[in-house]
Amino acid sequence: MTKADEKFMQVNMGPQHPSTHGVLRLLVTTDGEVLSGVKPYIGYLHRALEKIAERVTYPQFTPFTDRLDYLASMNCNLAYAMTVEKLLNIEVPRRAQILRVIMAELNRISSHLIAFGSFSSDMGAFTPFLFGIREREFINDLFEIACGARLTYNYIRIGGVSKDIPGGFIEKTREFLDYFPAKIKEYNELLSYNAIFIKRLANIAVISPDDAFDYGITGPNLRASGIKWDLRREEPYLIYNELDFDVPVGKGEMGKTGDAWDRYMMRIYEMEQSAKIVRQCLDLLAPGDYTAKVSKVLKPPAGEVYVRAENPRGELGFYLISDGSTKPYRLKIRAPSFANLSIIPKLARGVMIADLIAIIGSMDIILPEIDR
Amino acid sequence: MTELINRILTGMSTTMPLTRLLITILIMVVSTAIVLAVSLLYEGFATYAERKVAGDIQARIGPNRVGPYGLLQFVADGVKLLLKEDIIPFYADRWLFIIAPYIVFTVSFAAFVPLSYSDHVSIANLNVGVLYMIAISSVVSMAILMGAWGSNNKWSLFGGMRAVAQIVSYEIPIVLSLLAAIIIPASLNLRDIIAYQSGGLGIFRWLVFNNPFTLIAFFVYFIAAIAEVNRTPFDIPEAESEIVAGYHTEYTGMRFAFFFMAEYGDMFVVSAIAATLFLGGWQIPFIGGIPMPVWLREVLQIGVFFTKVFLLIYVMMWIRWTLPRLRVDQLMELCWKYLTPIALFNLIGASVWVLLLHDKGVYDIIARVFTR
Amino acid sequence: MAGYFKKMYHSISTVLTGLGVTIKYGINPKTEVTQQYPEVKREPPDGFRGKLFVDINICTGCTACARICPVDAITLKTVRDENKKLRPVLFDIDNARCIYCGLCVEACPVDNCLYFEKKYEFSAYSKQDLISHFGLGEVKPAESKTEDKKTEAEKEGKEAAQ
Ligand code: SF4
Ligand code: SF4
Repeated sequence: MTKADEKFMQVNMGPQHPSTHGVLRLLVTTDGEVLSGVKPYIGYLHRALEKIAERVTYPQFTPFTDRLDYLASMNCNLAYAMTVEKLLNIEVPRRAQILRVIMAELNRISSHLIAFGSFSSDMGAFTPFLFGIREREFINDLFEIACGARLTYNYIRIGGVSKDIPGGFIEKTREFLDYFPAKIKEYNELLSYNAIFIKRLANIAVISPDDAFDYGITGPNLRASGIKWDLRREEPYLIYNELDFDVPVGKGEMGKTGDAWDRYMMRIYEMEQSAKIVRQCLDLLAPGDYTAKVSKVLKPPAGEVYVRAENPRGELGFYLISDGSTKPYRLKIRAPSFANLSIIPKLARGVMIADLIAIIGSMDIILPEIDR
Repeated sequence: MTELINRILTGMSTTMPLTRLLITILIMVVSTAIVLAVSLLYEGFATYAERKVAGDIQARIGPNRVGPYGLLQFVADGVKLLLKEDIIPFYADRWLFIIAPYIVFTVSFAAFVPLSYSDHVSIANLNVGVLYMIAISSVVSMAILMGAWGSNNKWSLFGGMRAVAQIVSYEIPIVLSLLAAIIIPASLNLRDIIAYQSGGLGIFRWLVFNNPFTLIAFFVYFIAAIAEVNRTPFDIPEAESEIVAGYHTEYTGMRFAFFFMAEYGDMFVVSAIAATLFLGGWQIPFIGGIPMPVWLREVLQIGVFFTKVFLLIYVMMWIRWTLPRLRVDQLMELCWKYLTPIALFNLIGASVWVLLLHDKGVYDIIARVFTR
Repeated sequence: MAGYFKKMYHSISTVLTGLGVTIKYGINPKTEVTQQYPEVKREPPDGFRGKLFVDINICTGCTACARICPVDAITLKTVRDENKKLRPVLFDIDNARCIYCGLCVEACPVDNCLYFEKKYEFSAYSKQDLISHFGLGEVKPAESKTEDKKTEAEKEGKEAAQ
């Protein structure tokens, strides 16, 4: 520490800090309330998932993808399944594709509900958090009907889905979709357009489009900066090209485009769009196979593939190298939160401690995905 | 209470100075014990009420296991806190660390003293009651800083600094808005102020309805009072999502409980001031003019006073579970750019009103017009 | 100056809107969604992935479940009985290890042999208590030696059985 640094104080935020969304550790250098630098330290949740992938077979790795982004397990399952399917050239039946879209979008809603809730509790309002949890419980119930689990679904498998949806699922989903818009309105009244909330977030931590590209920001955080980039539109997978939905982008309604409020609001808008998608998919659902014929032992040809999918937190990519055996030779996971986290030191310079919390919350990072 | 002592002493035959002194001390100790017991009971129930209100607002149930409707929850909490290990950090400044909670608690308890609970029930009928209340509630900031500094923890220090800045700043709008009210009865004695508000069905001569300026003053006072007792949206000294637990990060067990109880004690005190100065204190609405036995009147007055106070406390809880938290600089902005100027203009307006209309309120004027 | 008051109006009105939302819940006890857990127990839907159960009498000892399990939660040892049928003498499922992924259930070739119960309350005081033992323990071993590939497993099984 040099002489000039002596007027700064170093504070260790995390890994047990209440609002680091898990076990992120930030070494914060402050001058009173004002930050002069932030250094994230990661790895407290490292489970060597990429290494585990090399010792389990292809189907066996699916449950591990549940544990990447545990708030959006379906989406992680989906991305992994698509990767292996591409390697094996498996054609997924249409019903399975629609089911996958339904599940992925429902999971997107539930993930954004947690993002909304935990962000609001970071901002000091605890009630919206429990409201978010309450609505998420509906979705959890739906998933439980469909696959029997409430958090780590392991539902979307290589070739399709693990089992067909039972009767009653469609009605229950419709019930939820009818109930949900009123709740979004409630969130907006309670939090989104609250003057204190806007004041806390508008013009805070603005990510310019250039920065967003440089740091590889993806997902709602990128779109909040005004860039219309959504893999569901740009590289449509499954049946997304048949569906009618908007890609919300940040417009700087309350301040500059790409500020924390925009990032927060992207998630509210996306929940509305996802609900719209699920509704269309329910109409499209026709009888058919729920999975393609996949042999029990998968031996893909030697080769490499990279597949990415739009996760609630950004682009989740799997780079898979096969050597022709039953186990992956190497699996590299491109986790969206990792890239999103990397911009935090840049954003959190010269802001206040409370803003740092707002920044972390608005980026909506999730640690198991970063540490893997 | 002095009157009470005098009455008892004059009723006694002994003239021994020592006996008189002993009796005086005895009466003081007993009355203190009564007040302490009542205030502890109140604080216990206030924590219960807070949790219940939070539960209601968040679509939950809240505590309902210990005793009927969970009413004894606070006993369980108290026992739990008593049994906790009492940790004093090794590098803490022991003396400051130990004494701070006691000061905080004593001060919040001392503020119960000049309150006038009914026509005859009050502990001390101070002729400078309002001044005493304002003075004693500022001591809290010193004690909080002692605890925060003594903890030798950076988060505590942040909390302590924030608390001092906040409490000291918010004293100003509080005093200014209280002044707008007390220039009308022209007294600092809380009982006199309440007595002034008699008549008008026990409602319309409340100082809050006296003139438009006192109405504004009431709201300014109430907002500033919420900040004074460090509650959301102004709970930045203990903002748990930013600075862990603020100034009481290092406190455990009973020491923590003292801080905790002091917070609820302060809530009572600021609400009681609001009820006394603006909402007619123990003036019984509607049926106050009917002749009734003294004891019944006293009981009704105490009931009315506590009802008003608890309603205000409910509003504080309601606000807490609704709003997000302000940032520390926005908090200051609210104080210096909004509340203080408003309170100041208000005070001028109220003074002009009093000068021009000779302390006649809106109700008096209307009543005069009608009786003519 | 107009901006000053406009800001103030905006703040107050939005705060009041928010307060309006919460008071609706605050005064209406019907909005509660809590289930009082030990008294009210939630009935899981069909297909719920709870505790694993093995109908050991119809288990063929094919070890498909143990092989597919990604976390090696199933310990399985088989021997041949007098009818030269593979019998699982040791079938332990470590519930602390199991991640309830359901791969084993899908891999099992026998209907209704390995399945999830609708049971979600099985906390225990030690990790040892979380292991469910389904194995037959001892079976009458086969008389003659077979040239089966699983002689290794068989020997081990015998040792374990003894
Ligand atoms: S459910 Fe999954 S983890 Fe559990 S025993 Fe079966 S395969 Fe193994
Ligand atoms: S897969 Fe089924 S039959 Fe085979 S060993 Fe496991 S439980 Fe028994």
